[in-house]
Amino acid sequence: MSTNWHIPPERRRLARPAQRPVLARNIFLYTIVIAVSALMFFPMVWTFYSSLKTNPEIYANAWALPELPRFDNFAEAWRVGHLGRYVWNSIVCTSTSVLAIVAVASLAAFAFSRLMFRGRDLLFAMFLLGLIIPVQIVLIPLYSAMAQAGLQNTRTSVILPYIAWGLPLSIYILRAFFLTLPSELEDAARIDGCSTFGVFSRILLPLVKPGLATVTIFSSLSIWNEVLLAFVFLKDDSVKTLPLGLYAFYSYHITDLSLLFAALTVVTVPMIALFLIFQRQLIEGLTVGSLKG
Amino acid sequence: MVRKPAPYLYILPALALFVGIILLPAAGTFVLSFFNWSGIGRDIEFVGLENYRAAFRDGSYFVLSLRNNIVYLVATFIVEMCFGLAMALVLDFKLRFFGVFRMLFFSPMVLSMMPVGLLWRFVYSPEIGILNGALKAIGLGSLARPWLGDPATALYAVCLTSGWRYAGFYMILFYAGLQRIPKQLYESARIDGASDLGCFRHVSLPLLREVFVICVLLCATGAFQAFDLIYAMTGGKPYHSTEVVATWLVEVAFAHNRFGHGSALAVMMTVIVFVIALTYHFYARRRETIEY
Amino acid sequence: MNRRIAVGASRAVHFMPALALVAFTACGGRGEHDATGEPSRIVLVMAHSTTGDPEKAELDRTVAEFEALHPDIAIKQNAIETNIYETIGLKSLFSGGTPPDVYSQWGKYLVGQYQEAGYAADLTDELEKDSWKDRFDPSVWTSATYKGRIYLIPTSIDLTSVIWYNKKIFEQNGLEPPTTWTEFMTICDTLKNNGIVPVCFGNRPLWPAANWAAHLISRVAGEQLYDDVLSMKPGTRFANDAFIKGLGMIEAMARSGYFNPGLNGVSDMEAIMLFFQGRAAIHPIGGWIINHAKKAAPEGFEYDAFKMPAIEDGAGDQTSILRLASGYMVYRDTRYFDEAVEFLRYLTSVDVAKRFVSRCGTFSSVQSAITEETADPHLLTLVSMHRSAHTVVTAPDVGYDRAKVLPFMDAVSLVIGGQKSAREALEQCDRAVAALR
Repeated sequence: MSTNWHIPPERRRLARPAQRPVLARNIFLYTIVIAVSALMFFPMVWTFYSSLKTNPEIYANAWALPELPRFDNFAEAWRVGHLGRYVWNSIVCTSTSVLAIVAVASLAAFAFSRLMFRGRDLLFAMFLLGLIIPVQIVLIPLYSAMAQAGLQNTRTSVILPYIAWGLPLSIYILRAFFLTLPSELEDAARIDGCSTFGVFSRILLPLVKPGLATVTIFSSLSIWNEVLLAFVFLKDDSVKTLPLGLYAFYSYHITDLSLLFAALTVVTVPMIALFLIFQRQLIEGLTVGSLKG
Repeated sequence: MVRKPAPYLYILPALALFVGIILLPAAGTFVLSFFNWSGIGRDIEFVGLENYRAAFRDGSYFVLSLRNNIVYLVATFIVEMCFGLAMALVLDFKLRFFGVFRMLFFSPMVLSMMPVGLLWRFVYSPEIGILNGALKAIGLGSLARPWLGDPATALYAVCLTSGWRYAGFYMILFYAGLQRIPKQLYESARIDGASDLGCFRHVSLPLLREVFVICVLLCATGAFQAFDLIYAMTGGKPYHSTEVVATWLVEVAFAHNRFGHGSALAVMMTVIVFVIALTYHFYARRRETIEY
Repeated sequence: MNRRIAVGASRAVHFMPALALVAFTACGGRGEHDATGEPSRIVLVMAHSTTGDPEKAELDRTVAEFEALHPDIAIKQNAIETNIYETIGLKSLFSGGTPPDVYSQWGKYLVGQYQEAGYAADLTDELEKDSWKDRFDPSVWTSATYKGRIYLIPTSIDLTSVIWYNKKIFEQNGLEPPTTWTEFMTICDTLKNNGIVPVCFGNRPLWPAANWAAHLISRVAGEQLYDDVLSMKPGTRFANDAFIKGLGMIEAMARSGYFNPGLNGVSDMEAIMLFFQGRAAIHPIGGWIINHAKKAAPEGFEYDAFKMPAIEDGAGDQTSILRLASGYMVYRDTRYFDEAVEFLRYLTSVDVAKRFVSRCGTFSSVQSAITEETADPHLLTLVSMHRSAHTVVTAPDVGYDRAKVLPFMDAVSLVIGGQKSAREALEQCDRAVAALR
């Protein structure tokens, strides 16, 4: 029973009905799309143009466009917030954690979806706990454990929790993706003499690329923006991550909004770039869905 | 077939990390819930179930925060599901520049809670906010109110913002799910004379079941963990009308220096959510597979 | 028996996760780690909540100078944002087993709490040496003392609820700063009738209105009763006549519409925006507005302060001022007590204090640091307000046990938001406090 998911363009066009209703529909759709896009994107636009204003301008009217765009706010924010060093730390923490999450979670998700073993469901349910336990309350025992293990004030002390907290969701998503793959794939491979690990790495893993891309994006986002653990665990300037740098703009009850917005713009750009890159992976992975035989 | 130890090797790294970093400290928290501790010093006193009982007395907002959490869960679920699904469907039409639109739809997820909270506070601000400004401009000035200051509206305002922010996440899941549906099914439906809406109801929706199951579970568990955004927007105010369990337990444990009581709240919350999640998971599994 | 269970349990809490983590330390990539192992240089760890400019820059400069003067001492700063510092940050440093040698702290209640926890070094004798103590404004010691001994070096005096007003608006409406409460109410009425919000608060964090209300209540009830009730002395209750009368005055203001709508959902940043934009005439907030105005107020914005107006037949000292002090404490079991004290002496030397005053607008507790040359005119106004006060009232949010004071802060927010009457709110407060006792 084969499923051919790849339909050649000619056949696709044949499936479409007549022209005029499509035009009306498209106009309707485009209107909605543009409206929704504006709704979703306006914060970023607002953050960006606010970062071009001076503080008195922002405090006088939070919504007005800048009178004279001040691009030196970015350089100033970079300097005051020590953003250069923090960007590097954030990159290290995020990429290490995400790579580890993808590796560890895909192995586990494979096992939970395709292998039979005792306690499988119970162990999987246990990982669900990770979705529920709030970080805040486990903070002090965890911090103390890190200190005792000699890891205090290192990037490792946050990377390990980031991985651990990223696992439940990632395992859940990847398992769901693995489950959608037909078991015939595995049978075919085994008949050809493939080992379990081979099935995993050479056959199934490439097919869940969208899942991997999803997990990568979501994990990256939450780790990149994570504040609480970073604040408590990272004390040296040499290991602090980017969100901590933003607090340089909060002095006692006073927020330097123009520099804060500039820094926020800087902080968000890498994440947008990341998403743009992985968007393509998502598409590419989705078109590689064909099976022979 | 498969050799016995192999499956366990696959889950070993995940298990080790999970147990070491989440379970063991959580066990520590569980133990702590039976003690009184201010968070500093060595003055720890065993009090048995007192911390649990205290959650239901005057001055404790645990029950209120649970209720708010449930309202939050339902409201954000509706916003996120509808919005996420709608955006995924629209993207599925593959209009021109749809890659750009997809990025734009997803962009709120890229922001951390600080700018989101900051921005939406300005949107909802009574005097200088654009929501009230827009209402006044179109003549609906009587609807203008302090959205975040009025206990009747504050929670819903926060839910709207939360839904707005996370819709992109669910959009991605739905969109990925939609791509999994074989195009032939749409073809055959159209040949049978189905309209766009018909295609949606009879092809897309049923085949998105799997994704729905995931989304519901994530939404539910995520709703109980919700902290960052609510803290940034209202901090549980006004009058605890936007207090959810996570904000309350952080307040209790760290601002009130009642770490044992906070731990007890965390344990209770974890148990409640776990029961809900487990029930739902096993219920959903029984109706999982779709043959086609 | 209980203690043994407790000690055992706490050891288990710390031990179990560490056991698990030992497995990972081998493969974990180590980042930088502090040089506490180096015998040739002493490293002093200093934890504080000063993250923003200009205070942070000034602190960095001071630290660098000190290190230059003392090549054998290095100071490692651990700056944590204020809210996180006060809730989780500082605590986790101690409970996690990595106590700082020097740490910033609010005076009064927290000094006592940290001393009871065993984290505070007695500084009384050090202060007597070389007349270090004499540098400071003598009124600060009440905030730094616990059971007769001094544990805090108070570096700044914090007036957290000063009544600032927009001079231009007052001029345009022909108003003068009030000296009595009745005059104040008349002013509010005039402003309201002219379409300006009389008094604005950003009461989302609860303390702005609570501090202001506390001061008002102390004026009505007298400082002793105020202190007794807030300290939860047995036999006292919040819903007593004087408190109800005081809070009732705020209830009356709320009913007359003298406050900005939805103030319990407004953050302090938005409230200051209202003030700077001239939409509100009066904004009771702390002394940091001086720096804030320099940074963010529009051109030509003029403002000044007036003291809490005198209450007719109030039992309290009608010249009183609401005040906190903050500074640094030293860890009791630090290995580097002398070095820590040496640094604090330097930090509170007159020259350094003067720089903080002129560059950061700090209301330094070092007396000779604030002069006409060093201080902004608004700061001088605050100083003279402070000097003219015969009594000091401690703000509730930090000066007392926060857990027990939160019901009071809730009560104030309910009354100022027009949700409950003063009597109802205070009675609810009493019920909550009773459950906590």
